[in-house]
Amino acid sequence: MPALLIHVLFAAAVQGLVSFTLVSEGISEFTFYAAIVSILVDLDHRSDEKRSSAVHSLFTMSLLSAICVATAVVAGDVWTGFLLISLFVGFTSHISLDMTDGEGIYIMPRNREMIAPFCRARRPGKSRRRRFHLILAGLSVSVLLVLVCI
Amino acid sequence: MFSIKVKLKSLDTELVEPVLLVLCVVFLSIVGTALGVITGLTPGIHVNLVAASFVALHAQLTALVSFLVGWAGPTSSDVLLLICCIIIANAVSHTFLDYIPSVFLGAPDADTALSVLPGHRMLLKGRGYEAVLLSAFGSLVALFFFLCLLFPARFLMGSPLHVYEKLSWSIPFILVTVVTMLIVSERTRMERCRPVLRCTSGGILDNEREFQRMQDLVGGETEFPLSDQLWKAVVAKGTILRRKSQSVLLSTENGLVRVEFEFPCRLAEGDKAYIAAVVEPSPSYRQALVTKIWALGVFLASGLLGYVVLSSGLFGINWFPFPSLVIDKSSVGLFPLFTGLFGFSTLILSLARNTGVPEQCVEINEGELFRGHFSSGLKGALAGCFAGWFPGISNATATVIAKMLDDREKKGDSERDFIVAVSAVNTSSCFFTLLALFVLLRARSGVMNAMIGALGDALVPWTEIELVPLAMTTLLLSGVIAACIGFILTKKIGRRFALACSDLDYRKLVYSIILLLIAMVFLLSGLLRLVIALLATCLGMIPPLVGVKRVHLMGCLILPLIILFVG
Repeated sequence: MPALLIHVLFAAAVQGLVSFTLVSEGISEFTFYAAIVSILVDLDHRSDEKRSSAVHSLFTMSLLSAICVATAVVAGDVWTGFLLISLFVGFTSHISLDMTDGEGIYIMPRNREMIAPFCRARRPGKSRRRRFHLILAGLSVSVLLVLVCI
Repeated sequence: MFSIKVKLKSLDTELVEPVLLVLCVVFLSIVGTALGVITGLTPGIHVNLVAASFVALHAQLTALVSFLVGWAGPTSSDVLLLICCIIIANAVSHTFLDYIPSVFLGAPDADTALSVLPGHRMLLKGRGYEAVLLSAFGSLVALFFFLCLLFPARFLMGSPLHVYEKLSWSIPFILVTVVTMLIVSERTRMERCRPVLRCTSGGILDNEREFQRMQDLVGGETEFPLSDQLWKAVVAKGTILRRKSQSVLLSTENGLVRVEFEFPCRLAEGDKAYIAAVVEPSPSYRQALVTKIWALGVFLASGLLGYVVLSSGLFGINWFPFPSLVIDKSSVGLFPLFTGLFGFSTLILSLARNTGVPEQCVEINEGELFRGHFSSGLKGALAGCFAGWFPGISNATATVIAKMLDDREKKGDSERDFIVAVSAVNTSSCFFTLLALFVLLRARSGVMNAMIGALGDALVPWTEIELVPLAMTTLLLSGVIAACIGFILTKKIGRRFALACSDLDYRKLVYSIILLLIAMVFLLSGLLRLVIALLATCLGMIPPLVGVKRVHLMGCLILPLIILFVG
């Protein structure tokens, strides 16, 4: 797991970039909202033999992000829209950063199947359930992308 | 003698010859440093309190300085500048010396509060002098950092970039982010975690023979309880009772052990397994969450206490035994709070553990000790720079930021790094507030407030980067002199303290310190604050008892600040 400060800085940088692209304003209150959300994601980092992390999964990431983007579109209010975008940025930046390190992220919540492209020890074997989970997660990411395009 | 007349922009007043001015500055810096030694070594006296007393005694101080440097023929504006030299020398040397009572007496102030526990822990390991040396080193690194960044910082914060003006709105957001990071990064302490066997690839042994060979390698059979074997390599054999995708419950001759695999496990329930693994602490999900909730609770409770203490309504009903002793009521208000939260609680808990002060090691190779801690000092100094520039970011908050920049906890050297960082924060903050005074013309601390009062119209802003104001150069010279003398004195006085304290009976020492602190709180802060100190003591004992870091107690300053900014 990257240090918490790296998550914060990464989220702030991404949000800064997004804000700059949208309204030519690098640092705003939304930068901090993104940073705080990226910290809060780690509240659910730990996993033990009874349960795995619910938030550190591809499915939850795409689901929450889709909800954020959809609400932002529906709300129509600029401030709410920016707030939801910052939540989305904070969350996805955290998960994407976690995916690139040795520990990886889960495909589905409460399940042990993982995506860890940079970890040999956890390279998962082939299984029918895993294929199903990957398809489901892929579908949710596609829905998210469609929503972002809208 | 060749003489140059220097004119100040605003005053248009002639100054004494530069050589004489430098001599006066050196002399009065030594006087200020001597005062800083006294105030730094006395528990409960904050540097802002001393600065406030300088303002209160302005007339007497002017007469004294005129008398001391009368041979140089200073003008009235020179005298004001020289008074400021005493104030800055006092403040700088105070940041060097104030660590000594924190380590040996466990009596912190707002700036050194967070370092009490690491310092005290080192004292109980016979390394109190080492802690003092590290703190002096941290302060020196901060001075080096400041001198290197003097012009870049001016360029950044003043014209043309004006970063300060652009970012000052974000202070409450920064505080909230720091607090969130602190609470979420709280980890369950090892002694509270259940030990598990962490098995990497190749850790599942094929047969009894391989098991025997591995057992010889790790030095015999695994001893129970496993909590005594943390981070050691062990071997275990038994039958698998329950199996999850990446963990199994192994039934051995000595009891049940959980084994977690770093790879998909192919063992089935009922199989006989031979495992080579490392014993690691593994907190359950619930434990991790409870720890974070405790951290949040401690932060909120201390924040509430801080808010009550800092609200002025309490002063009206307080009773002071000697009102004339109290000069700055707002400054002394924090003393009982920090003494209770960090001082009394540490002392009482160390009494309960029945520890004694072991013989202190004073023969230390300084070069070897300081090696590897320079970066911690730099990080602390960077955080101190932040505290010096932005209102509302206290030294303690900056220390927390420095701690986050330094992620060395796993390497077992965190105590030393932390002490270096804390001292660097304090000294760096002191110097950067001076710079902020001349760049922004704003007082960022009680000392700078006193300086504004003393300098008056002689305070010339640093507008053009190549024209450094004479007053600032003089005060910087004074600060550097005080830092150099402070470094040497901290080493010498710290050594004496270390040699003396190991001869004393620890229990008697702790009792006498507690009594001394109670007396000081009562005399300086009044009866009501003594009650608050008792409350703070109870609160200060919670973090070590529930297994969270004491840094959350800094909520007593951070939460009121957030409320102030948001409100």
